[in-house]
Amino acid sequence: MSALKKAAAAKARYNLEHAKVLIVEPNQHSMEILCQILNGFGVRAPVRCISSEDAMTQVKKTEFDLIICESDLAEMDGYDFVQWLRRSKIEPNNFTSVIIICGHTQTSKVHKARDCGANFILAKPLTPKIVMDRIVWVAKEGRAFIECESYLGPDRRFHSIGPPPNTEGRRADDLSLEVGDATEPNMSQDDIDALLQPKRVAK
Amino acid sequence: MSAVKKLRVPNRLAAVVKTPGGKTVAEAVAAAEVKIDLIKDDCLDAIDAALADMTAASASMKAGTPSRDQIEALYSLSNDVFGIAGVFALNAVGEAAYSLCDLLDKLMVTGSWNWPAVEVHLNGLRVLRALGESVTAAQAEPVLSGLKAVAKRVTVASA
Repeated sequence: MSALKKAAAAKARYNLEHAKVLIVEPNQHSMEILCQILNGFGVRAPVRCISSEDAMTQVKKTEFDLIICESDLAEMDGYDFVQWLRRSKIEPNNFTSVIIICGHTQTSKVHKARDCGANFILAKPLTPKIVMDRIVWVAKEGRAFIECESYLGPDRRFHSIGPPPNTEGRRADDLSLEVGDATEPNMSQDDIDALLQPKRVAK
Repeated sequence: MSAVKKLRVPNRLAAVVKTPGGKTVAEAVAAAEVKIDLIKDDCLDAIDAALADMTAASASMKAGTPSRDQIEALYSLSNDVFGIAGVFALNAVGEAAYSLCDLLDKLMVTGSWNWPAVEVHLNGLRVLRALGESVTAAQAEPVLSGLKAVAKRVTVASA
């Protein structure tokens, strides 16, 4: 990040006072930590749930701007809850930004974490800086939602590195792996100069 | 191959945070740190309670192979300790708890059991917690690298 961008980022203000936030966390102390952090950020009275079942009831009656959900929940875990939410058709909550928080992730759940449809997976321990950085990141992102048989959630290919190796890709805007012949003549140097439009910088 | 639909959806959080007022990242973080300090003592007590529960839960595990539910319960307590400890600068306790989670996860995956490896982790956790925030990274390093080595060796042996 350039010095100019860093300075602008440091001055930017984020208003979370009116944000409707749902927290799903079964551990009393982890819930308290998260609430205190959000309270410090300005969030007023986040809705607290200790299970997926409670959270399912809440998303049916309140429109949330952000959902923060622990992965390790009894019965239906956090990944399954997010997957349910994305397919629920409960608008606008089915498109609400979701941050999953997780401690140690069991080997058997790594793929679930990747495929659940959350906007971000945040590893514990949570510190105010880490949580704020991720909230800002999620608030700034403009990822499209991808819907297919096996996945519904924010586009996971946000680095624009193209389709996976040795596949043609399934999207209309996936470029072909074959680079064909040029269809137009090369640009002249004058054309390129005109694009750059160099200007003298005042000292 | 399944069809893929691309949907453009409004980012509600983005709209909310842009409203006038609010805090800079630095202001928000500073305010949150003050708030977190208010619950520090309660959380440290919760870590101690979880460690006591882990000791109690593991008492019956010395003799024979525990059930998956028993291992899950110990894993869950260790994960709780990991989640809270790092917030309050007990990084070494957090890392030891994470190593125990790693070990228990692998034991559940392979369906094997190794009490000495679990016991050394529980002892390590108690020692690091007793040292509290005063323990430096350099002091904790030999303990933590020992625990990780034990977890790795058990994992490789049981794979």
